[in-house]
Amino acid sequence: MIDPEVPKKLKTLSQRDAEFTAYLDGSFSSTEIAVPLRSLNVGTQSEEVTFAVVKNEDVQTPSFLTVCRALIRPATLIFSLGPMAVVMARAISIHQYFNVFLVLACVFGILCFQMAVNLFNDYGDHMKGQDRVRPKGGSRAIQNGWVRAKKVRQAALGLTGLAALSGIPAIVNSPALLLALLALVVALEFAFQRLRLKRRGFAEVLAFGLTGPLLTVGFSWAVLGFAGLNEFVIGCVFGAIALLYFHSANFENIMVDSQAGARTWATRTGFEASKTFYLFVSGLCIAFAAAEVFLLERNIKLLPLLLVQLLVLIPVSRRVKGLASPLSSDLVGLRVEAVRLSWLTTIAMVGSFIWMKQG
Amino acid sequence: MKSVKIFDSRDFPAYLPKLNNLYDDLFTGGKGFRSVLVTKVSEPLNLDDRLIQLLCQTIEFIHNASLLHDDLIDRSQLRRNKPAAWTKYTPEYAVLAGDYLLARVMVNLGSHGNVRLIQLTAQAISDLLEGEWIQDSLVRDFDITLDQLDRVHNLKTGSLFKWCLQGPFVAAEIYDRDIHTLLEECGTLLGLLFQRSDDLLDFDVRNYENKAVLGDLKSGYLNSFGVFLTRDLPEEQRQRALKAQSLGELKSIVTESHFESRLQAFDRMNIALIELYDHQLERLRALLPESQKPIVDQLLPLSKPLYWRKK
Repeated sequence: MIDPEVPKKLKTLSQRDAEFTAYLDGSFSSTEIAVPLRSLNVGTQSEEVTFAVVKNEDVQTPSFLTVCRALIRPATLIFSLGPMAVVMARAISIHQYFNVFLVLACVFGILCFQMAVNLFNDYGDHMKGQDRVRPKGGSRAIQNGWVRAKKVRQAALGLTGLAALSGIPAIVNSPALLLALLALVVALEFAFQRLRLKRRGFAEVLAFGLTGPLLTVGFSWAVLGFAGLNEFVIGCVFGAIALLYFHSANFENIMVDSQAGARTWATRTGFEASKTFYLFVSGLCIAFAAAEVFLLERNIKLLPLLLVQLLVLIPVSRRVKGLASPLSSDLVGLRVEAVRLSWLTTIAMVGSFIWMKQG
Repeated sequence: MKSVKIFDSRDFPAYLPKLNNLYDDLFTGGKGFRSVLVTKVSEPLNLDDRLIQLLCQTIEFIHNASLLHDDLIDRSQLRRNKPAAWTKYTPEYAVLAGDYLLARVMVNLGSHGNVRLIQLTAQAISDLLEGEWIQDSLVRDFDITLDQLDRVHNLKTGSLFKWCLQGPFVAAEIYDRDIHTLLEECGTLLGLLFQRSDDLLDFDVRNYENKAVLGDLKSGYLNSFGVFLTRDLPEEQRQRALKAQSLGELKSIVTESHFESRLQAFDRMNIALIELYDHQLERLRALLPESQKPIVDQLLPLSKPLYWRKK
């Protein structure tokens, strides 16, 4: 953040200027930082950004760890950690053999991959403008001047490399290779946004697949050598929660995105339809959980999974039903609820499978 | 600068005396800041007096129509130290009188014939109403953030300031996109500064006009300074502050020193906005031909009195 009293020069650049990208990604200088203050006509040929250019030492940067935490968003790692933990807990409950080294390598690789996607997303949304117009978009680390965008991109590439290296033992001679390649393509799309899938409203679908059935089925294939309907439905439970998270983020920004002309699922369908969609996805979470409890596992010990969905989603759905304004503060905390639900679902399922093993 | 007469009873049907009386009350005592702004931009563009009169009338009619509706929505009893129109003439007449002003705007602009001016004006009215609508849905929402309020104010207050700067250029048939982007941005910044300064009046800060104090908070609306003042307080203290019935009580809850330090930080934040406004005007100067550059000189000194409320 910049102290208002710190001496700064204001500089406005438009997309037509040669220096535009260098100022946006921070490569224009090693001694100064350009903090974007105002972005106009975002996403058009006439986009222009006004920067406050300050010396490096004049930016109030928090500690390195705080910046890393902001960029990585550790709480959201549950979206990939949770499904993997549950697949492993189930494998233990049915006395399935697995190689611990392989599991650790896969978990490490997938966590690196999710962190890389988070960073690519921060970089891409900063460069394309979405996080410059959304007051709470992304981690804010780039927009606050804590870190240069190009550094974020470098870190994301490094993490992708680490993820690829960690995944080598798992994907050799395994059908998981195909899923890993698909995940890589998606990560690259988040980084470079060539197909503009996110802008076309496909972020939710990608989130559902990558943190849901694709993850659980791919992970199970890689470390256990098989994947069945159980792993698929476990993935659907987590995928639906991730879908809720992404939809909440877009719903929260429905007004900002509409004014900036950004096309998200929320802006395309509108306020009331977004509420309905939220309720529909909540229903999906409950339905997948019920299917896992009553149709697949058929075990009463897994009931906590269903209870967690009901206890979290019923009050939140009531809140969503009562929303009357696109700027209501009730809209702001919905993302946090999805993260909380993912943590509680993980705890409930892992606990239930361990209980089943003991019983 | 020429003086402009905004309201003339001959502009309205003589067979509607109540409507004329209502407008007479409404238009008397207003500062007419928006029409002053329009004039400052119009004169260096060499617009003829009748066109300047039309532009000034347009913006003041829209502004006053919004006041008629606003007072009814907020149930405000007073406007410019007089009974609000809805209390004196009934809510139904207040709504009709507001609608009638907006209709007159379109009739007058339609007679002038510049379609892009009509388009700009319709957009401003549309934004204004969107802002009103959203603001009303935020009553009793005490967890609102400054960013969210800025969005409402950009629609509600900023829309008219943007029109004041862009309207004369459109009337002069200057449609350059870069110029209009900058005018729009300057209007947004002026609107934000005006609104934030207005919000300070509610806390009796630089309240030289003796406006009612703590009216927003008591009617369930947390304004921009209210958000800024209370956002870092412990929850229990914040809840007590939000229920304060007088400024003295509020200051005793948040402490006088906290109030002063937040006010200074709020002012610093807005000084940064003024710097940004000045920067954008200098960019505008570079785009304008020599004959129109005085517009920038007219607009540069405006932000400070607007925010600091100095004459």
